[in-house]
Amino acid sequence: MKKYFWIATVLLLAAGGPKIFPAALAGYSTLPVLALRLLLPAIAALFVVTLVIWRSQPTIARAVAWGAVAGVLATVPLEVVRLIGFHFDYMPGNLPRLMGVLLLDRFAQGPSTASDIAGWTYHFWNGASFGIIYAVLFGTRRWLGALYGLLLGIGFMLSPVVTSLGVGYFGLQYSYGFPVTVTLAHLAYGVTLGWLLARFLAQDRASGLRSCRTCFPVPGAAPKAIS
Amino acid sequence: MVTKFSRVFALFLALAVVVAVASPAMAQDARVTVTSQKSFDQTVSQLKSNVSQGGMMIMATVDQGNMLSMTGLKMRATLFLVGNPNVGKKLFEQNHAVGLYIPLRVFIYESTDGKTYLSYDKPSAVLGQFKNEEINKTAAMLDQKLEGLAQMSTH
Repeated sequence: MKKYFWIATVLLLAAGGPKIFPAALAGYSTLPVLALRLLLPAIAALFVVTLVIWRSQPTIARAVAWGAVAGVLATVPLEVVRLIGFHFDYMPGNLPRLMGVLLLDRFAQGPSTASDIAGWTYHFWNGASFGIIYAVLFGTRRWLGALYGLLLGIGFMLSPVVTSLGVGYFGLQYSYGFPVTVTLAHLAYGVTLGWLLARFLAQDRASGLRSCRTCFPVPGAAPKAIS
Repeated sequence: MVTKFSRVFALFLALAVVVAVASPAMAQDARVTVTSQKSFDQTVSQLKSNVSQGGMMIMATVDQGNMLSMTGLKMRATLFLVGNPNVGKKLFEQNHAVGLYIPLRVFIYESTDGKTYLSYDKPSAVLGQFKNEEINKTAAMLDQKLEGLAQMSTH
């Protein structure tokens, strides 16, 4: 029972980051306010929770740690695909830069070095967050990463973020290249994430994920105890 | 009967043509564009210092060039909202709807020909629609202020 409580807590805290951008664009609040009241506390709480359960719930704690690392690394190929798409004008804007100016509330002044750092940091944190969620839910299931990435891409294209860009659902009013770029970028993220987590978690004996495959207990495949 | 109808129709048509032709012309008269003899940065810098000397202040800056860099477009353009709270108070006391045009907008941009331009709508042209004597007086004063500001910043 305790295990499910910690899984729910971790998922809730990890989901906090990616939610604030669409919430801000949907008009619920501004991004700086949501970042201060939700994002930063959620990151701090996730860090504390991971430390607290490091020994008592190693499977979940290791999934959070490796999920974050793999998520950040998997965002790199996503960025490569996205930047190529942006270069060919398939994307209506540079989203991390937009995130930055909204985060620092300086839309009227346009991007600065500080806002670019803030935007890209937030973008990579989103990658880490989705990595944590994947690691907790799917563990070492390597090829499920592709499907996970595709679902993230579709979810993004149906989100208030794309609506606010004024390019219609799936960005089809802007260009056919938009859904292609977004899908390929998220596919690259998902495939890399699944592949990295399979390697990371399989090598980390303490995580117990090699035997149980996800944080959820699987009958007949109980996580290994730490010696 | 037919002749009378034709005359009315012709008159209506003529009015429609006059309105259609006159609207852009009025808009053209309202907008003042001054070619700067300075670079974009120098013009912006001059405007910033001249605004306060003219008894006004910059209330907001919209760096449209930098903002649009997020879309991949490269251009240099900055919009300034300039005004004076006391002058604004006089106008708002007459009609709260003046807020659509106050503070005034002054736009500096570098065109594709490489030249820098300073552009603004004449306050008397945009505020004249309120048909209010006090507003018109203040607008005329603002016309002079903006003209002076534009000349000092671009020459």
